[in-house]
Amino acid sequence: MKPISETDLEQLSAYIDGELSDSERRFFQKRLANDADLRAACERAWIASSVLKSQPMQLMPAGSAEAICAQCQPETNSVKAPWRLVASFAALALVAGLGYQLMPGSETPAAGDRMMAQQAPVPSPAPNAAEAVPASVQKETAKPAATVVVKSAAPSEQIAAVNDPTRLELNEATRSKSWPKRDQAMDDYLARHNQMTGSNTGNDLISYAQLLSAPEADASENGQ
Amino acid sequence: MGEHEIDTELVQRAQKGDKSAFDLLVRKYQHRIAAVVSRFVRNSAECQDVVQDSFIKAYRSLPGFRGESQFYTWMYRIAVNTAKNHLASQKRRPGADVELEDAEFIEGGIYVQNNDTPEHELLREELAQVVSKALAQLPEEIRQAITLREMEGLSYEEIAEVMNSPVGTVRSRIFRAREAIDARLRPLYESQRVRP
Repeated sequence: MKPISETDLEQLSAYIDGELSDSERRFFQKRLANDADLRAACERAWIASSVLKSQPMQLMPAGSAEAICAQCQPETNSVKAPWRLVASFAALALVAGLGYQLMPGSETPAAGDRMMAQQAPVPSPAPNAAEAVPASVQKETAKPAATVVVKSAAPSEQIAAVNDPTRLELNEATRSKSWPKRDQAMDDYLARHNQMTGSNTGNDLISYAQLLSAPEADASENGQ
Repeated sequence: MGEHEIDTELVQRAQKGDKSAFDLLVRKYQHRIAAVVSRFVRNSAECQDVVQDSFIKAYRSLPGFRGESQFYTWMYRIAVNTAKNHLASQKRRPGADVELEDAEFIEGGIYVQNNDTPEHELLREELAQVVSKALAQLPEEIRQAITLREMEGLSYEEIAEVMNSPVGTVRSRIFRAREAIDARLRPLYESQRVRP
């Protein structure tokens, strides 16, 4: 145990009386944190103070303060930290989900599922698979498939539709009923546009004069 | 900054995770808390365990300590509750073996008495005598300064006014008084505290 200088003892005395300036106190507290002998001297001064004030006291064994502090662990941090993390992720997921739902044009999961079911190609059964399945089961499984395929066109019709865009049908199942509003004039315009684009082989140049004058021509023909 | 403000500052530092600040609070109050606990728990080893548990509980509860009461008052309540719980867990009643008229009534309907063992009583007497002798041998102005500080609780500025001396002189006198007391107290303190 090294002796404590008079300067340190004077600072210590002023510290326990709360008579050091802010800067002196901060500096002295750093010294206390790093000097075990100075801390022991501080403890003795407190004991002497208690005796002078006739305060009841009972000496604890040497090293008891160190033993107590060694067992002091903050209880809350270790328990709350994982819950905070989980709660943060949950909040983030909730906000992301709500944001997706509120986005214009987003579909509800149920509508998305229906769309997938209607657009999904029906797997063609293996040649011998139908034979292996009993007839009763085949009837039951065939029903949903029939409802899905009911609007699908034959391959030859699809090819013809590509060559002749006016024959393309809008998919009423997937088409939004509310937005955009169906406009017959716009549909006719787009049909003509597609037709002319399909027949045009001159570097995608379209005669808009012809396109725009077509309705009047049609109207005059119908009028005659 | 007064003595209580020092405690408040130490508490705030401990709340931020500074263990050296809590170490100082333990050093400052453990002996007084031990005296409180010893009134409930007679066995010396058990008493030390309860004091230790009390400070550990206090450290864990520090985030909830708002400083509305003084740290010692708060610590005192924790120590009393810990001592009561300790006795309850052992299905013992404090002071059950003493005469009711000798007991002191404490909060919660529990009767306690001064459970000091003869050893503790002797040590306390010894400490008081050492400090008293050291004080008696001090020069008059030094004794007056430390008395005004410790027993009357005056600040350095107030003592300077009473003694008609500069504050620096008061600070030096109080330090000299503490140095003289510590020189006598230290051997006794060290011999007692190295006991198992």
